[in-house]
Amino acid sequence: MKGAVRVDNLGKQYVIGGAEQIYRSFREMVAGVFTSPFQKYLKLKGAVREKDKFWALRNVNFEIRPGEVTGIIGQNGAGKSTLLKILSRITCPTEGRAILSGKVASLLEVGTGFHPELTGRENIYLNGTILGMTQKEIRSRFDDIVSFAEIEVFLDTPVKRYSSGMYVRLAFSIAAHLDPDILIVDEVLAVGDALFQDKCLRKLSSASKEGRTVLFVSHNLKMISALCDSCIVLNKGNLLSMGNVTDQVNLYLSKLSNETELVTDREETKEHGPMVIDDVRIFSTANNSSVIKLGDDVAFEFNYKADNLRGKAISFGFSLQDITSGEFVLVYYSEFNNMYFYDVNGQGTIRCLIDRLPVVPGKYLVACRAVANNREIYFKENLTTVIIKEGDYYGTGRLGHRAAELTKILIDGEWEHHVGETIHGDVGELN
Amino acid sequence: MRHTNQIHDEYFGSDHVTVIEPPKGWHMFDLRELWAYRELLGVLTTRDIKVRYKQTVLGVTWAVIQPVVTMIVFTIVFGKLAKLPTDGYPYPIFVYSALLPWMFFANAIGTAGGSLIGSSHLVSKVYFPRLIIPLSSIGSGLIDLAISTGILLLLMLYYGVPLTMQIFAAPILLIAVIFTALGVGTLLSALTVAYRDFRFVVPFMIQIWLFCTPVVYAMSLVPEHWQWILGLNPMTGIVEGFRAAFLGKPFDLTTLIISFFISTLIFLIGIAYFEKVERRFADII
Repeated sequence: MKGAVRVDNLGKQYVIGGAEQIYRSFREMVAGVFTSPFQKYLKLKGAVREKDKFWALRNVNFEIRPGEVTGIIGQNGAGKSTLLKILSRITCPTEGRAILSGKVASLLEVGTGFHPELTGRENIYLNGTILGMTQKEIRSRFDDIVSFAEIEVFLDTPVKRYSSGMYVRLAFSIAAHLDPDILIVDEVLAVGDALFQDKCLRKLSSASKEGRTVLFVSHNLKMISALCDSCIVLNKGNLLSMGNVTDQVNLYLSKLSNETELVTDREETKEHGPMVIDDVRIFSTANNSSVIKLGDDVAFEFNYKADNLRGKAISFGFSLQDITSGEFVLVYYSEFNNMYFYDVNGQGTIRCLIDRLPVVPGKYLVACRAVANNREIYFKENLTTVIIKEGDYYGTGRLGHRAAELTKILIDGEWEHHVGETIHGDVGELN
Repeated sequence: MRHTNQIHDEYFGSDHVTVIEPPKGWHMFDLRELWAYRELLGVLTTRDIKVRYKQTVLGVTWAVIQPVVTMIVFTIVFGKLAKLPTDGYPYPIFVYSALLPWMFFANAIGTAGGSLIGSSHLVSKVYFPRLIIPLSSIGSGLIDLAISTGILLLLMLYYGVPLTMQIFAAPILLIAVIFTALGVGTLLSALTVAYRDFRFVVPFMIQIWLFCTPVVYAMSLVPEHWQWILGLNPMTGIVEGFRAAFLGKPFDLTTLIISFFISTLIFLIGIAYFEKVERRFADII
């Protein structure tokens, strides 16, 4: 039964503001000597200020069978990292229990403990040992590690002279040659170039076929779907659901879209910042339709409520984040165009008109941020979602419905052909 | 441990099981686990030794320069100017034989004290017994100690001071100074994680401690009925012991025994405190 994981009622509480006996300085400790008996008394009476406590994770129960590859997804602050940290024994749970059978290796970061002054060879031994390999194991896998990382020539060069790509390749290569029964992996694959990522993914999935249990956190839902058998969805420290990976990813996606509407509803009543966006409309200007196609002229309208911002120059921006891969495809601030908004007060609308939207079809989360004098006055992730459908970007009908699979960005250029001459440079003259 | 075994059999029946539970107050120091991680200790120590003099012009010469220059300065100030009595030995040898354990101790607690915060990237990303960090930080000082011992032997040759059978006490004294440094070092490293004040306390403390230890002066300079107080400082017995072992003057057994006792006590307190707070490190570092 090597490789099984069982988690019972696991919870981790953090105290914010250091209200517990965690003194940050000697002065506080001295003060604490006098106040702590009093505080302990209050605690016994159950009078601990609830607002100082915060459960990063609570009542989490699940079981993972040996050899299963399980993804963990959830928004920022859902408790994914806390869960991984507890399972890797970096931090202790506040309640509950987790049992892991077999050798555990965790990879919360690539290149943990790499020393810049040491050579690639020395760092392989250093990092490998830190990750839990024995000297014997490292020696026997040394050649594989080096050839997987493709750094043979630089083996005896200090890693501080490595390019960031080489550094990551070496670091991941060491990790990929770990041979634990349970492997815990945090968002580490997000680094490195696409080709090497792919190589790592294949290495990881072949590992799971050898019967290794893998726990894998990622924001990249495509990667999760491709790699995992099952999936756990965390939400605000609780386990929302667990099961087949396709079902869970779909559930998470639909939850994300629902949540965005809820968030805008709640915004009005709850937040008290100097500026609040209370409505967002994204529509195609040609027909005022909320169905948006690639290449449409599109309007983004943000209704705001604000006070005390008169006289400030405000830069307003928004971003689109691909819901499946977690990648930001665009970030656009008004200040890029030297455009600032004055007299933001009471209520109003900021509108951004975009000609021929060049965003590849897909589903995107819209985030939005306002900045006055370099200070953030409003920021909201997941403000709403927008779906962009396939469209005729070039107006020729030739692109068909393939933009999403063909390309990442859309460009429109002028093609020329000069017969019988070789031309160099100066485009200005040609025009 | 019965509890753990039950869970073990119930769910797995495998021999390699990790049970993760909330910490419960003081717990036993797990020597077996530390042994399992001995290779890591070795690798981290080698790293520190390798890195220590990287990208320095003088390299390992620093291990020679530091004690020798200190000795010269002390000889001029305390030997020539203040004319401190030395029980009849040339001042350079007198002070150098004491600087040997002292500089090792001072360097060790200095580096060990900051070792945990210096390794916060490890503490927050990977699990291993945290004790490994202060332990490994002390190892590299042993190389320096070996080098400066070589210099002492050369000095003795130059001044014509013969070695006696008492030199065989040196290994015991070496173990004593290592244990004292480990105890103080682990204690300081754990305290520094929680209270950053200790980053300022440690260098200051080392300075004061030097003058509370008979390094630049002889213990005989202190009135006899006050000498036992000096013995409460574990470094007193060790420093005087080193001097006796190399220079062949008689051992002061009472002071030695008091110092060894205090050393052991500090070691136990250091390790116990470290173990108690170890599990909180990742949350507060």
